[in-house]
Amino acid sequence: MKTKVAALVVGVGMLLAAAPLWAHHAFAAEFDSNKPVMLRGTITKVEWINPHSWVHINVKEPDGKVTSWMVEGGPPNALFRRGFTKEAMPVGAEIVVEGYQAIDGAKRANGRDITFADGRKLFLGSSGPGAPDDGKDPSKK
Amino acid sequence: MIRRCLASLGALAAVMAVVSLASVHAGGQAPTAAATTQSAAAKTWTSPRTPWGDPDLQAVWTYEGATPLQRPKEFAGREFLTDAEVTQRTQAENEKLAKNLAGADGRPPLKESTLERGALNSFWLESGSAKKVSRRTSLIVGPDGRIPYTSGMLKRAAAQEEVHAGRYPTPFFHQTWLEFDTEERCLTHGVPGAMLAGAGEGPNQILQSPGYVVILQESFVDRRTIPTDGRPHGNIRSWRGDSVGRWEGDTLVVETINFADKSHYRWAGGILWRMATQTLRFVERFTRVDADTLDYQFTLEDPARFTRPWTAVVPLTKLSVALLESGCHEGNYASINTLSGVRNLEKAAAEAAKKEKERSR
Repeated sequence: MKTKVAALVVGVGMLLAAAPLWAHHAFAAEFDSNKPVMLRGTITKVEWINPHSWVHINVKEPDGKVTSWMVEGGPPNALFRRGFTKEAMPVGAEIVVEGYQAIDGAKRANGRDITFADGRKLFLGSSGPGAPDDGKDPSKK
Repeated sequence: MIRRCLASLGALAAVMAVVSLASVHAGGQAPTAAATTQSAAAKTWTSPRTPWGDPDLQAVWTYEGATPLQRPKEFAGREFLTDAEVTQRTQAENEKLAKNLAGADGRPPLKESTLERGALNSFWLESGSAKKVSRRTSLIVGPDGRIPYTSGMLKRAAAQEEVHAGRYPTPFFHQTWLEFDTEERCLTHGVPGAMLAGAGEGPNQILQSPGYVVILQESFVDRRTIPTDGRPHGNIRSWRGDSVGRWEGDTLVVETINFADKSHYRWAGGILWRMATQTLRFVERFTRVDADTLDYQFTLEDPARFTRPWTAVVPLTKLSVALLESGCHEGNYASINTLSGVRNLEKAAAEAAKKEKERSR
């Protein structure tokens, strides 16, 4: 598939379906809900830090220029309990990110969804009973 | 392309409508079945004891339920779901989990997004299993099932919902880092609400020794030390208040007063009730009802914020995990990013005002 950066500026009709599950900081002050972005890029670094992890990617734009983006992810402890390890998102892997760009226009986004470019799911096989140390495995009690 | 399943996502809207009833505030969870189940369980289960004879509550606990704190309007006047509604909610939770596990394949395109923008990174936080469904329509008990805010507090809550809806208010707050909410500053989770912490905040661990109970909360390395040796309350106000505990049969009862009134929730609307004011009296009851369930009940009494005391019943689930380190400020980029974002909003607003002024000349 072609590498592309689609900066989709659309009016996003939000239903606000539910109260927030967890939000360490105010979305509206930091990210622009009118600037949804889809990025396809190669992981250059993953920061496993609190309170949020950050995934750094290099994105090749249509004109061939490479732009570095950083994408906010979940808290490292939560990811660990979901079975994530540092090998889960290795440097060099190509991923597709959907999210919202920072209000200040920086190449920074809130990561709504991340998928490997080859179609593999980030959470493949890590869910449900038996997920590593999620406390659901009766044999571990 | 990545999304194959999206054609069928018309159904998702319907599912989400149901799910939205079920999804909670802070990672909430699952009243197993409140009083009825608990009393039944209590008949067949004996609470373990510590070597010194107190009921043993020691474990890592979290809330994994699908029941919201407040009762949705659809269930006004009704405290419990019907069998059919329980089945429907269970199916909805299972479908929601399946869609989340499918990642982008299970979500609508951004153009049609129904993402709750306040729920930062919710994609990352799914527990990997469906939330537990109980019969309760809300964690808050009683005929109303809602937080009885005073009119002033209702106004504040409404203003905060605006922020969650993406309408950042003017004049802008977040002028300085001092205006950040208590949790944005990585200060504390606070005492009210801490036991409801979900995947994002990390679970709670209860530890006991003779005369003391300690509760550790993962996210902000929070800890509460609760004496149970009969001593009276002290007279120092603090962020976490002054807790005194006692045992009533198998139940630990903790009363906390002397909060310092420093907690600050400017935008986090769903957790406004957690504010610790000087007039707050917070009473908790912890009862282990089976090996893996802690019946947690809490009552908030605060005439400055609520028109009457209110109580919630929360079934907490035992986890077989250890608490992890959580150095909240090690990479709190949000501090810088938020200030930068707000400066940008101010600049845009000033330019818009200038243009409007020129146009009206």
